[in-house]
Amino acid sequence: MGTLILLAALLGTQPAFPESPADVVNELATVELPEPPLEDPPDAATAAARTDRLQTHLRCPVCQGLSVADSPSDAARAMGTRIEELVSQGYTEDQITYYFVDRYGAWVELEPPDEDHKALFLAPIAVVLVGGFLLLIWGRRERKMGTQTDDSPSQVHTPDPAIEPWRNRILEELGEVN
Amino acid sequence: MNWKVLTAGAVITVPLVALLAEGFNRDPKLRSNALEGRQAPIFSLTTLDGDPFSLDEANGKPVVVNFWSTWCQPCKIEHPVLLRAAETYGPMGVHFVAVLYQDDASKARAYLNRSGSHWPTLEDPGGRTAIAYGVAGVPETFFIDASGTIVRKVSGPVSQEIMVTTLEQML
Repeated sequence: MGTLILLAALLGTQPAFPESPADVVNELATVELPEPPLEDPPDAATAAARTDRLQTHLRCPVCQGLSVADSPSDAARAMGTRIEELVSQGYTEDQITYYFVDRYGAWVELEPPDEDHKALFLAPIAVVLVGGFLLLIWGRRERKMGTQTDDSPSQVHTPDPAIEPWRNRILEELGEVN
Repeated sequence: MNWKVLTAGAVITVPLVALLAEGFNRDPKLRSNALEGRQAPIFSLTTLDGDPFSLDEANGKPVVVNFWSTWCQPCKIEHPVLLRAAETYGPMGVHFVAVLYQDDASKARAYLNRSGSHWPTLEDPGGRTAIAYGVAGVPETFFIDASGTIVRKVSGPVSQEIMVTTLEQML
């Protein structure tokens, strides 16, 4: 080792330490991505902010309801590191989100896209509006019926003159029975 | 019987019950099979013996890619099925490849020495390949046909029946 360092010093270079097996494995490991990054690699501050946003927005694949940032699992750590790598290569937030959604499905987003759940927020409002409208119609109808009853008591209490003799006879017979 | 009240009740409850029934049909733990029917992501990794391996090496042959780990009990249940399938379908041109998921290479070597294997087991540093395949737990197995298309993804241990049926369809 001493000879190597001396030789390196003489040649003006640092001796190259052999790579560990893990480094070699890591260096050889590649996986094709569906598309190239859309931007140049961002500066450190932008990259950190983007990574943070994505790690908070995406769900840990092996947890229930935890983001990548919140989960201590190995799978979430691997996903967090992958997000960091992709951000540093210049992939945009949309590209990275799409990459994960493409593989894990829409489930991987903690907050689903607006268009998917907008209807859910509109549904209760629609139910209240329809209910109010129905109540209004029902209230008006009740009031109208009440008014009709009040305005024409004769229709209820005054017997038809044509059936008056029959009515009187029935009443008489009932009186006899009672 | 008040038909108006009954109708109003039905109008409110029937959609709610239908919504709940729809919910019962969905398994919240079910993962996406989004990659089925699509080209398999190409990866290059290193085997436990230090040899490089690329999915391109399959070269127009069907491939079974199995993500596993030694800490996963269902993977151990699945192992004999993989062994038998590799013995039967390996000579027929099917490539079997295992990718180690969130595990130590030394533990995998020890397990495979005990249990045997007829396929290369690859290290996946950083889990990049697992992420590219949308792996959310092990075991997960991907059946890739000769054109490089993922024809089936199986989450959980592959049964003998599924293994044979899928491979026969692919050949």
